[in-house]
Amino acid sequence: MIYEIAGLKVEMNPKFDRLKRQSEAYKSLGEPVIRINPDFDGGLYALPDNCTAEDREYIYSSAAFCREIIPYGKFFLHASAVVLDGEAYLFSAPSGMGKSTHTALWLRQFKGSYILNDDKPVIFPENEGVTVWGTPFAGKTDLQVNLGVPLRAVCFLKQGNENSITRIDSERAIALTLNNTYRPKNSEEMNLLLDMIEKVVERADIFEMSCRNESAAAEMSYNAMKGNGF
Amino acid sequence: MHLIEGHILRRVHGNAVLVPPPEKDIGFNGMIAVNHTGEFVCKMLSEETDTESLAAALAKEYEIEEDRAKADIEVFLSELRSLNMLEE
Repeated sequence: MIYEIAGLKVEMNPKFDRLKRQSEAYKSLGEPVIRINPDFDGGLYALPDNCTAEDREYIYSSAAFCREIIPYGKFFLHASAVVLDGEAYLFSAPSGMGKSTHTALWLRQFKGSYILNDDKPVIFPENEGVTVWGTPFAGKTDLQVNLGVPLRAVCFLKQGNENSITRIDSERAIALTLNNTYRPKNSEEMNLLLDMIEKVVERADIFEMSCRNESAAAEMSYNAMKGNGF
Repeated sequence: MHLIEGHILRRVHGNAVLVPPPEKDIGFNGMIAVNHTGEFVCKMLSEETDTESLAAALAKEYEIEEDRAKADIEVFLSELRSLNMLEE
């Protein structure tokens, strides 16, 4: 079965319902450039306890996809991507830090906003600008849309009980991006990834924030990332 | 001594960064952002060298006392060592 994910033709033959269902909107035709091996152990995440064969297929396929896209000038960011007024806002952090919780606040707060991808959006620095793509790999919530949307800003979440957001310098932005993506296992691809990260920090504003689970936090992040002053 | 084989030392958006070898698992998979001095030392450490040569070169380049250069270098080297980034 051929899918088109983040603008790339991908061959994948899911046996189980989860991957089949999440990939449904990406069905395509044509010659694949990437072939997903569902047995690939990418070491991207440790498998959870009591992992079913269905979940393993999904996790390994997503890890394989994230590894294989690097040579095509694309990389994934562990993030929840929310779209408002045609622009993508990415909230990135390791699992359990409240990415999806925060973007769920946006959905309640801002009419017309939607989740592009809730776990692994793909970032594509083009000749100009940066495009964010939805993928079938959306984590637990399965919130995802098969679309490419221009990137507005990226925000990394950190621990804290206060609502606080600051723009960060490129050095910190590079380190945090590297910590929240798949690290290539050879120098050539690592350099490609660093080239891509360079373009993202050049072209997008990057922030770091701590926040509470309340609507004021969504207002704060929106105003800062939109550039309305805060 | 020298930096571990396969390391990446480059600029990303003007920042000098040192990345562990992608091919190896050395128990450290972050990156080290280095300043001008650090970058200078790392470039020298891309080839076999020793503390004395590094201190002499650093003292000359930045017009500082060799003793001070040596002290700075030892701190930097012990940081690299703790991250398994040095081969000795």
